Amino acid sequence: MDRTTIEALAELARLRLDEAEIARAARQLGRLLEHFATLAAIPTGAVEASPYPLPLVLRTRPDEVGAVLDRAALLANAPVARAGAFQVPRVVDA
Amino acid sequence: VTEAIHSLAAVDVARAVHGGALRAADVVDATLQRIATTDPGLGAFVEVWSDARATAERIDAERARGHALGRLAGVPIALKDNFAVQGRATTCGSRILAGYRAPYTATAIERLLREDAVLVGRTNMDEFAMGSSTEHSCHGPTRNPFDKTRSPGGSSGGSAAAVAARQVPLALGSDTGGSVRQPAALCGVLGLKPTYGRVSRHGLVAYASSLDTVGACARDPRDLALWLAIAAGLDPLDSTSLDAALPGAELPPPPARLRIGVPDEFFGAGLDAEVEASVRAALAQLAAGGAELVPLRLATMPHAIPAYYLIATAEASSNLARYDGVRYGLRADAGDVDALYRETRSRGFGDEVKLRILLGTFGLSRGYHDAYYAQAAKVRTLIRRDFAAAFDRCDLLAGPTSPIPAFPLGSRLEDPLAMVLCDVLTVAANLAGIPALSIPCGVTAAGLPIGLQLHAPALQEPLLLQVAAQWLAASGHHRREPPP
Repeated sequence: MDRTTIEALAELARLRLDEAEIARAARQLGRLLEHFATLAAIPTGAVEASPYPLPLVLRTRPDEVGAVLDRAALLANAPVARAGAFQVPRVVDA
Repeated sequence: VTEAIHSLAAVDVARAVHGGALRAADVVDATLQRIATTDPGLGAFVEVWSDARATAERIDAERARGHALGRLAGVPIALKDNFAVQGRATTCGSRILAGYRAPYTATAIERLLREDAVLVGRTNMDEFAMGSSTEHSCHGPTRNPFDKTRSPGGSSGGSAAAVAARQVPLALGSDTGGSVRQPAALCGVLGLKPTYGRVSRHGLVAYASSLDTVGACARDPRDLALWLAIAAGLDPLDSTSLDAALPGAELPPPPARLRIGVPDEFFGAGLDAEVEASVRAALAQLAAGGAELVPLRLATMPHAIPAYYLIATAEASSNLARYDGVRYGLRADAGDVDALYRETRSRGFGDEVKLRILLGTFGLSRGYHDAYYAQAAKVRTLIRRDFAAAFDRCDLLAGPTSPIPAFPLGSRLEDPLAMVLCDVLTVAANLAGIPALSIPCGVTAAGLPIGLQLHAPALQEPLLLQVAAQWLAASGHHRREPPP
């Protein structure tokens, strides 16, 4: 896998990779994808995909307000909280 | 009770606490003492909850007042570090969850607490359950109790090591591609991966949602039967949990006729000679006990590893998008929000997690999606059909759990393919959603444990456990202890 592809993937995945990490990822992903190439040769034209291992039935529930987690308990984990909300760097300029 | 407390099965602890032969407080004291003595140099636990004693005292007080106790009364249980327990830290072995405390409790844990279990701490794991050696952890590696220069397997290596080292009789893990069964095999204990959806995933930190299964390690199959009877069942908080009849806490009677399928592909290239000999000897003993061995083929097995890795990493790349430094865990200070995400994730995730996120992103990206993720999801269908056809001819499928015994720490870190191939015999059960059980079946000449793996059709966990119990009663492999 080439450097450009690794950098594009890192951009999509919101990761910053240093030179050593790019080289390592290129080497290791290349080795894995080489091994996984056998998959392409399997005829699967009319086969349906299995997003889950077992057939699942979509269950619905009454549209009622249930118990929710306490705001203070959730904000207790916030790296930075302010005025009852999670704070992040400015996203929209005033 | 004459046996040392730390050697007792969970069912025997519960019986003794119910009957008054043991106090829950004495059990927890013995457990905490055992962990304090054996964990240095082993590293099974990342946190021990000494306040477990207060829970035990409450249970003893309930009994003294004549109140009915739960089915796990006083049983010390350890949890892999990826279950939410309200007010407790959960790190998933990752720097990115530094400081996080769960605001709620996982359903699988709530059900244990309702039965008066005593939770004694969190066990080590590969970061976000990605790995097969318990070396990819921000807490450092766990070591194998049978040889401390070797890996316990992974990713639930801490739980398997804790059970093997007689620290606890029962420990929870999660099994996405073999993460309960492979460490169980390498540590000489039983490891159960139930049917997909059997046990609620609510409160289990997600790795790959269509594969993740809550499982457990124990030394006694009766403990796994009791655990599953309590943990299984529909949960409105997990839309994939199954609305199926619950398995009983008692093992069922032995089947009149047992057909065990033995696929050639379970004994393929890369299988260690001592592992093969031990597993074949176990199969011969099962046959001598009346089981019919059915040779068969599972032609799709060679495709299981590629399909598994492409699906698992695709789902992981999506599930792990939530770790961005905004709502919990690590935050790297940065000038703008995009840099905040990027810096937090780059500093917070370890190398293996980054590699799998990149692979999953690749498999889902434009131009590659059809050839990789979509193709893997179709191959999964072929694998499911292959297992279904095999179960038309037999009741169980048998083979080794891991192709190799415990390997030296550090020996597979630089070659991702070598690590991936540790899972070559376990991932298919996750793709097919069926239950599977690793059972200790011997040791190598160097004394390293070997695991026999049984697969069953969906919801047939009681059959797995019954066969294991009957065979272990005769062979005694589950009673082998690691060196002191």
